[in-house]
Amino acid sequence: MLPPVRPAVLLVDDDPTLLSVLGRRVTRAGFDTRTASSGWAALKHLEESWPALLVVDLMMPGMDGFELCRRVKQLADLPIIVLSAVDDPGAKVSALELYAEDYVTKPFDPDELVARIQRVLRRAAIGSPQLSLDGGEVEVDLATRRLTTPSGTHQLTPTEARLLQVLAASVDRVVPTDELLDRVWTDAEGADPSYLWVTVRRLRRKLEADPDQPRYLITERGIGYRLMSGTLASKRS
Amino acid sequence: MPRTSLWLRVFVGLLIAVLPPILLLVAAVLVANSVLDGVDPNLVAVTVVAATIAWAAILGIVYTRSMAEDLRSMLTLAERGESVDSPELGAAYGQLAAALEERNRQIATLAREAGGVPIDDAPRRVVESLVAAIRPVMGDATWRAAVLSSDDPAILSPGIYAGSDEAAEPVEIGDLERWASVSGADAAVARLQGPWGAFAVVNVASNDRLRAILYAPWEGRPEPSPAEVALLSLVGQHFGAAVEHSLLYARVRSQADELDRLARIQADFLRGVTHDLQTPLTSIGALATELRADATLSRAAQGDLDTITHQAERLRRMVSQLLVASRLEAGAFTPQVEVFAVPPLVERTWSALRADRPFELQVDGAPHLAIGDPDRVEQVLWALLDNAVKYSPDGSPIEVRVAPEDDVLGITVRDHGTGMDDETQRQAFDQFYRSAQARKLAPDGSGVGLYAARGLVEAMGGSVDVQSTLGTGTSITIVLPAEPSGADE
Repeated sequence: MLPPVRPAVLLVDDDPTLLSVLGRRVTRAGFDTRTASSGWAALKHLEESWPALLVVDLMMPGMDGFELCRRVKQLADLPIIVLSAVDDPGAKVSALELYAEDYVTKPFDPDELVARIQRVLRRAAIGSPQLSLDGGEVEVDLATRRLTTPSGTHQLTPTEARLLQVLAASVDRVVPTDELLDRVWTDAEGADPSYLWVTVRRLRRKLEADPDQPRYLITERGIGYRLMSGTLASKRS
Repeated sequence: MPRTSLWLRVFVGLLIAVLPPILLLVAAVLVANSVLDGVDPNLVAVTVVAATIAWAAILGIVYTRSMAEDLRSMLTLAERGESVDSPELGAAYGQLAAALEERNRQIATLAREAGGVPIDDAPRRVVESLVAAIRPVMGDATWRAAVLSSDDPAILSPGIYAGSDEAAEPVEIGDLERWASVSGADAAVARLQGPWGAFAVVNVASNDRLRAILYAPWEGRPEPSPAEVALLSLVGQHFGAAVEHSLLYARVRSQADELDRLARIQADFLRGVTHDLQTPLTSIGALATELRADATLSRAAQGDLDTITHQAERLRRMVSQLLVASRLEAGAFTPQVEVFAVPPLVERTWSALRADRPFELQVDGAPHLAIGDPDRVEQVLWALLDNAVKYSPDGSPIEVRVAPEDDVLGITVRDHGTGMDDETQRQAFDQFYRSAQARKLAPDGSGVGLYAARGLVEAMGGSVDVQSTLGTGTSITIVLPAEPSGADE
């Protein structure tokens, strides 16, 4: 029997010490780790094989992380986690909206990075950055985290967008609370069911015409939540 | 028909009015003793008076009719601009109307041309536009502007500006312009006669910031009329204001560009420094974590590793505080909006502080989750707890109370330390402020902790309040948006 294939992760950072430390930690977590010390080296790697995910430092000499992400996305829609000391909300928002699936600010705990790699890969398997409910009545662009309903356009928080993506992967089916907690939050965030309850309440205020009588985001008491594609909700109402 | 003069007409009129009654009176006196002998002299007198009155009445009627005709003629002149009875008056009226029309046209042209000159353009362009504007106003293409001096020659160089020709550089100032500028300095508008002939000179501006004139050859022409002087004064005032405004605008824009450039340098520097500091800090933390997993390390080495991790963490937080302070200063801080539980965050932060003190966390009321950026709230808590430890005696307890109320959550950090006087309470949240007492108790503080804390809390829609008594202690409460965390439905 062949051994299970380990997902490949390409780490790109100009700091050799950090690259070495992170490489060891990510390998220990069960990934096939490759490293590149510059944007050009990363592109050369991509000519030979494609990883399942890239971790890219934003500030690098020569080709910076933004430019590398742009070129990678031109080649293939590979998930990217941006890793940077640029603790700047502006840079974070533009990186997230344009290229990255997640963003980690230095300095960080390597365990936190591993948790995020696992979470992004789980979500990448789900796919579908666009979501349409009730025949186009509600549109969600998960890449830009914008939700459009008849009442207007709303900006979703990263957590709300992750929750919607996980629910959308099983649309019209119940997703258990534990699975939602596991997929939407990392262990380091220490989320319990109350996080899910409050996030759902806040999401309903943006998604539903009447949050007290939800049509799309339905509670299945004692089990979890169900995202309705709209047809069934329309029939119910 | 030739018109008699007004005075002749008045004289003849008076003669006609006065002569018949006088002749009648003289005749009556001459013939009174012969022809009218026996006639009552009173009757003769009454007859003379009655005849005089009748004559006056006849003359009055005749003059009234004549005046009515004149009035009608004047009304016709006013209404139609022509006079059948008086062609000279009609011609004079026509000249006056034409002069008024020309003045109106000039003012309208001035308003239109002046409105088309953009003051946010380069001052040189403004001067050229204004010269181009005065020419149609005065109907004279020889008008020019001479800028004798400006306080910033790089923005507006001295020279002769002869209209909108972007390619041509202004011609160098000559003796004519210097003479015109000096000779015409006393009046807003002047006609000057000199070695170069006659010139009309309009004084545009004569101050420390700008000296400039408008001028045109005036050879063979009389002194400018009062109307021309008034119009040229208006042009000069507008010209001066427009050029000074454009100079001011150019200076402000240049300063704004410089400030932008400095802000970019500062941001780049900050970004670079952050990168340079935080990348090695990440490596130190990661290596320390790896090494701690090595079971063969001695207890002393483990302790040293803990110290390395702790100090790296302190350094990271200091760098982060400075970054936040600078970003708040630039108004460029946008926190994330997530839901999170506060008590575990308080415990984690207290634990990271490693303070050897009695610590009590009290959680009141129904469970709530805060709405905000958990990383930033942790940063705020760290600043408050760090201050509480720094400014209270060793061994004294630190207390934290978490108390929800409707849709907010209050977090109060209380110490039993030195407390703050009123002045310190007022300024405690100012950037870089450190009281004398604070400097004495903790010389290594930077004075940005509370400033960053208040900025962060307010950016998340919350507020900060301080209660302190000297010698008793300080309580700082932050209030954050929150929601009850009870089960859904």
